[in-house]
Amino acid sequence: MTARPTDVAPVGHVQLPDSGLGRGWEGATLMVLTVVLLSFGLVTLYSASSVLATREGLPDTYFLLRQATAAGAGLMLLIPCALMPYRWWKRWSWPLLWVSVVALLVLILPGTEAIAPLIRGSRRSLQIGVSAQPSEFAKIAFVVWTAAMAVKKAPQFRSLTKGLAPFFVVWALVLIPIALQPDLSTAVLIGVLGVMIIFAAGVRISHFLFLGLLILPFLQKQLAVGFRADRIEAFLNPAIDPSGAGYQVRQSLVALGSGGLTGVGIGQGRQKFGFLPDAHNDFIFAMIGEEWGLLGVVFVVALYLGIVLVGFRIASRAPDLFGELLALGFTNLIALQAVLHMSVGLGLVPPTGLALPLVSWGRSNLVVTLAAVGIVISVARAASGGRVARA
Amino acid sequence: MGGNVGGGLAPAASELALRAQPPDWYVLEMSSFQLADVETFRPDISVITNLSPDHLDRYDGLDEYYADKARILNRADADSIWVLPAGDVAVLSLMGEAPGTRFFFGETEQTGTHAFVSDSALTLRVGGEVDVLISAQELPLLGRHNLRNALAASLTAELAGAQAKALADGLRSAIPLPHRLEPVADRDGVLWVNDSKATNVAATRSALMSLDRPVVLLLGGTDKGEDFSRLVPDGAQMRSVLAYGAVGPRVANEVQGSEFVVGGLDVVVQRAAEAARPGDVVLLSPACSSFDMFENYEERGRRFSALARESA
Repeated sequence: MTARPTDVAPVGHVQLPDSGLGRGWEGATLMVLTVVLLSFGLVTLYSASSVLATREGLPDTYFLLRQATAAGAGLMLLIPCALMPYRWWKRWSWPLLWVSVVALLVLILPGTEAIAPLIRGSRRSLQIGVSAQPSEFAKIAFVVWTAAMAVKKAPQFRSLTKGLAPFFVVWALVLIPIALQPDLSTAVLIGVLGVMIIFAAGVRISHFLFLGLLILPFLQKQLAVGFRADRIEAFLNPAIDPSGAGYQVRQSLVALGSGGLTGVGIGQGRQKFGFLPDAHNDFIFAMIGEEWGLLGVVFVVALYLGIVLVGFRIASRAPDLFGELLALGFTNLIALQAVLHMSVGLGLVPPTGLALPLVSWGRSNLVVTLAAVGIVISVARAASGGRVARA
Repeated sequence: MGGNVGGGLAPAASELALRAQPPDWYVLEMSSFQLADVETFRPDISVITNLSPDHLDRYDGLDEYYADKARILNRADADSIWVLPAGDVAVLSLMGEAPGTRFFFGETEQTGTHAFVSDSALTLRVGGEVDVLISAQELPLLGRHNLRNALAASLTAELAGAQAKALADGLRSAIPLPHRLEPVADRDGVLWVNDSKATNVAATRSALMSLDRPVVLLLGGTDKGEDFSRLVPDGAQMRSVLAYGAVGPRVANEVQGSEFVVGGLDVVVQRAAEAARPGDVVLLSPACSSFDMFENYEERGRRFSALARESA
C-alpha cells in the first residue's frame, strides 16, 4: 500500500461532495443556524407564553405545542423548497401573486367576517379550519414576483415609466390591502423589501428619491391615525405617559435591564406575569434579554448575523440574477423583521407588530420563514461551489 | 391588609412599620401555605369563609391540606373570636373543640346566626342588638358568594368595634373586582355584567347560579374541548345564549336554545342588546380562553365593557 500524501494542498478547482445542501458549506451552515435559532426560539416561547396560557386555564404548553406543530410543518415545507430547482418559482410568480391578492382582498371586503373576523382591531387572518395569515404567505409571492419581474425589466431600469412603473402598480395590489387590514407595519416591511430587491437589480437611486417624495404625503397621513400618532408621540417622549402608549416599551426596557449580563435565568423572568403585554410575540426579544441577559441577546444577534452573512454569500454566488435576487430577498425578509423587532424592544423605533423570525409566537410567520430558508438553500444548491464568475 | 392578596405579607408589613401611628387592626388573608409556617400567630378574630379542596398537587391528601388550615387554631384561647359559616359541616369539624366565642353568618336567619339576610336586608344580631345595614340590592357586588362575603365582613367589622352606619357605607361603596361578575353598565333595566375571567365551564356555571334574573349569556373563545351540554344549571332563567368565536359552532350544537353569532364582539353585543328585556342581565361569561380574538381575558373584558357602555 502506498502512503497517501496528506499534507499537500489540493491543486486547482476543488469540488466538495454534494451534502444534499449544495457543494459549498453555505447551505449546510444556513440550515444549522436555522435549526439552532428555531430550537432556542421554542424554549423561549415556552417560557414567555406559559403564564399567559395558564392564566386562562389552558395547559402551560398550549402555545409551545401549537408553535412546534407549525415548526414541523415549516420544516416539511423547507425540504421541498430546498430540493426544488429555484428557477421553477419564476413560472409560478404570477399565479402565486394573484392567489395572494385574492386572499388579501377577502380579508378586507365586507361580508366575509365569518372567515375573516375582526381580531384586536384588524382583520389579518383567514379562519378556514386552520387560522392562516395571508399577509405572511404574500411575502413569498411578493419576493418571487418582484425578483422575476426585476430580471425581466433589468435592461429597462433607466426608464422610470417602462422600468419601474409596473412594480409600483403590482406592489400596490399587495400593499394596499395589507395596509387596510390594517397592518401598516407589514405593508411597509414588504414595500421596503421590494425596494431592496429592485435596488440590487440595478435601479437608479435618483428614481427612489423621486418616488420616496411621492409616497411621503400618504405615509404621513397614515401615521397621523389615532393609535399610531399616540405611539409615535410616546416614542419621541416616553416620559409623558408611562402607563399609556409608552407602557409596553417601558416594560420591555425594564425586562432587558433586569436581565443584566447573564439574565435572571431561564423561566425565571418576571415581566411575562402580565407586566409586558405581547411578551410571547411582539416583545419576545425583551424576554430573551430578561432571562438570558446580554449574553443571550448577543447569541441571538450573532445567529441572525450568521444567517444574513451566509444568505448574502449565497446570493453573491448564485448562478444567475434571479437566484441572486431570491436569496437576497428572502435573507432580507428575515433580517429586516429581526432588526425591526429588536429595535422596537430597545425603544429605538416606535412599536410595531413585527415578529422575531423563528422565535415569536405566530404559526404563519414561522412556516413562511422556514420556507424562505428552504428557497435560499435551493439557490445555494445550484451554485457549483468554488468561485463563480457570472456574466 | 395583606397576606395572600397581591404581593404577600412582607411588603405590607414593611409599609406599616414605617407609619408613625400603628393601625388598630391588621387584616390578613392567610393561605394554607402561609399557615404551614406560623408558630406564634394568634389572631384576635379569625374568619373561615369556607373549605374546599385545592392545591392537591402540593398536598398528599385533603386531610393534610386541612391540617395546615387548622394551624390557625394552634394558639386559640378563651378570648379568641371566630366568624364561621352557619351549618358548614366541614368548617365545624375543623374547629372541633377549639376554645373561644363563635359567631355565625348565613344567607337565611336561623337560631344562633349573627349575620343573615332578613326581608332582603343584610342584618346583624350580636348581643341582643339588631342592626339592619343595607338591602341586598344595594350591594354593588353580584352573586350569592359575594353576599356571604359581605355578611362575614360586616360581622367581623362589628365584632372589631365598627358602627352600623360605617358598615352600611362601606358595603355600599364596595368596588367589584374587574372581570369577575363586574357590573359595567345599567340602562333601561338591563344590567351588563363582565365576567371575562370565567375561562372554563365550571366558572360560567357558578356565575349563572349566582344570578337570580333572566340572563342573556355571551360565551365563546378558544376551544378547550370541555363539554358544554351541562353548562346551564337547573333552574337558571336563560333569555338566550349567544355563542361566538372559534368554539361558537360547537356551543350552538351542545347548548339547547343557543345561537351562533358570526362576527366580532361588537356584533355579539349588538345582538345581546336586541335580545335583552328590562329586568335582564347581559352576562359575558365566556367559559373559554380569549386567545381566538383577544390578547387575554382582561382585554376581552375591557372591550366588552366599552361596547356595553356604548350600547346601553
